[in-house]
Amino acid sequence: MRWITMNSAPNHAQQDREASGAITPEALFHRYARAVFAVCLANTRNYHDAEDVMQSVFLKATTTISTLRDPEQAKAWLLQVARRKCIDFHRRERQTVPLLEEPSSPSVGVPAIDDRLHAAIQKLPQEYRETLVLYYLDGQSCATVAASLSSTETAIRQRLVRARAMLHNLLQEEEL
Amino acid sequence: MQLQRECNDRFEDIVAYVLGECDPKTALELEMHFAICEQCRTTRGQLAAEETRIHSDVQKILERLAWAEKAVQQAVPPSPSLPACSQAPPPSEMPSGSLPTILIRDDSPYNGRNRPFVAYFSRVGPFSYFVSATLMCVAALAAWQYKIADRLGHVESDLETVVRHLPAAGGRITDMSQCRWPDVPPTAKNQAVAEPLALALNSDVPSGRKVQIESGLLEIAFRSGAKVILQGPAAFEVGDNGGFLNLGKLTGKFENKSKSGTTQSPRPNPFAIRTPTAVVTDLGTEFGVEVDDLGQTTSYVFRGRVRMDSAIHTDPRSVTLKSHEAARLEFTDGQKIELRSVDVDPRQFARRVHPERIPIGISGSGYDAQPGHPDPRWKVFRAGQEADPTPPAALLIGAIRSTWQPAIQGQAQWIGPTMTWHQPVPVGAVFTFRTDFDLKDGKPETAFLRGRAIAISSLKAIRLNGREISPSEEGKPKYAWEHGHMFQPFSIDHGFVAGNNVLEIDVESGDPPPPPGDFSALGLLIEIGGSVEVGP
Repeated sequence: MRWITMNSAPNHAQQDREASGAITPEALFHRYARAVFAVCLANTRNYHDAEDVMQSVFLKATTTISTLRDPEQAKAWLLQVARRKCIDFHRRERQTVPLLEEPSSPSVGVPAIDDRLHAAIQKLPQEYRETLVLYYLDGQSCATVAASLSSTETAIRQRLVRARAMLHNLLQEEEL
Repeated sequence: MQLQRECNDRFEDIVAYVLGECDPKTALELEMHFAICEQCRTTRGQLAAEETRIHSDVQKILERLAWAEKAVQQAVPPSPSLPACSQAPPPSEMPSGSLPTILIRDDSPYNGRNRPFVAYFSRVGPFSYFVSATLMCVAALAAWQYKIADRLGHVESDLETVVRHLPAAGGRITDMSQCRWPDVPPTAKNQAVAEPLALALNSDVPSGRKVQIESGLLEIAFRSGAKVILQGPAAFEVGDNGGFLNLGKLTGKFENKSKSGTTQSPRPNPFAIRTPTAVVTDLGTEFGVEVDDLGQTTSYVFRGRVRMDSAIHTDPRSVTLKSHEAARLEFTDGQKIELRSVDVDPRQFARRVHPERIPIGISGSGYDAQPGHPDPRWKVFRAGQEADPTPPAALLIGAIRSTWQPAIQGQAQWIGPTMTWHQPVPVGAVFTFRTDFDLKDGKPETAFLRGRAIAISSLKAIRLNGREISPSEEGKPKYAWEHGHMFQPFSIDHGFVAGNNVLEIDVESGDPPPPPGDFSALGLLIEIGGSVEVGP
């Protein structure tokens, strides 16, 4: 399944810059936001944390992208940055003690996310979790996920099916 | 118990099927299994419902990402590229409006550290700390305001932007069976044709998207509750509530239940199928539409009513069709069209993606019979003596070993030519067990049988209508057991004929014969079942 492109037409200035071979931050975000968010979501507790980590990933990317020599590797590089940022995030989390649990108040105009679904996904093993979330958020293609995770399509398909089966069992248990 | 275990073994295949990641062979086998197994159908339904839930969540995440993407586009100045960020324009060229949080990080290349204006104050000593602190406060305040505004819902304009970029109303693929897609290379002209990758189960098909299938069936559901089943080969452009059928057949169904329970057509946007020559408007019904190569349109109403209008504005014609009525808009001499009543075989329109299947009336050995009594359905005779038009019934024999029992007690029992195991038959004798069944209303080409058998001493052949199912290879019988006394699974998916069918199983007595009192000379236990699509 191809996901709907929200802002499908980059402006002319951006196109000119991309034509010159340079990677712009707009292009980075436009192309890889879903994959980066998927990795962040798979490695954090909730959507808000994932959004925070994603923001720090792109900030890091904008400051260090000059070190990236091969633009073809931009996605893999970004996902690696995302994983490291998630580790940093958890490290910081351990060092802080929350005073009060922030009440979950749904923002007006912001769509509410199904927390139970996310909680079930969080119970999956890490590699299954990442595969599953990448699959759904980044194009629903095993080939794309395989390229992102530097794995084979067959292995990803097998991992995906097992992850989805485990998720089904978890959701069924939850309903019971 | 065995059947239960088999269904559990299929679980991952069903998951792959729902994800659209199943290979065609397994998908076909699963679809056949769904027809007879309610448990697996239920599992498929649960998984499909979860997929809907996940996709709903994914859509919400994508909306959030769209907001973030917009913020980035607003935030990043039109610099040539990131490596050249030191030449970024001064802050005065930054876009106006709220400051996105992405800009407040101190280590951002866009924070002004490398810009002459800030660099000047940074050399001025303590005063620079004051300016820096002030700037940071302003930035923090702006970021805080941005977040507050977001939380208070002052983002309608952003929301409108997102909604504007969402696809117009369309349909969703809710089911498919054996679909084959045309191999069309992407060109500027056919960009709107949905690629196979985009046509996975549960994927959205926006309005204006063209869908082409070479064969198979594809079900698209609309927000109104209407559904169409495309029947390949077909070319269809998805609309808000209906669409444009350029070629091929489809079946449309609209079930809009009002509070009183009666079926009503939606107004003011009725479910309608347009074709090159006609507009078929639903009035609360189920109907079929066919468009041939010339664009001529035929419509048949299964139940309810439809209105069929000519799409040729210079020659407006209209007819309302009731249940079991059909009409055709066709070209006559010249460019004139004619709307006339025709006889149509309604069976040419697929009314469900997965055709209704009925069980085949065949039973395992000894089913529903008492020990020592003749089997009412299975006959047995010595091979070569089938000239007898009425061979004797096989007899039920007692069980031998506990491991040689049927999966479900009572579904099958041991049968043989003799009543007890102590009446051995000649060494090397081959006996044929025969049963017959009638496909009745089923399509023979869609029938299949599956089962497992165990024989004493060996299974020599299985034949359907005189044709061996799996021929022997290199003189070695396919069904002889070689790895201990195991059940031999088999499946039959061809060789059926309309009406009565005959299934025969050859069993050979052992060599040397087993000692008396321990084994019988010859016996068969077979579990078997199957189904067939309803049809002529």
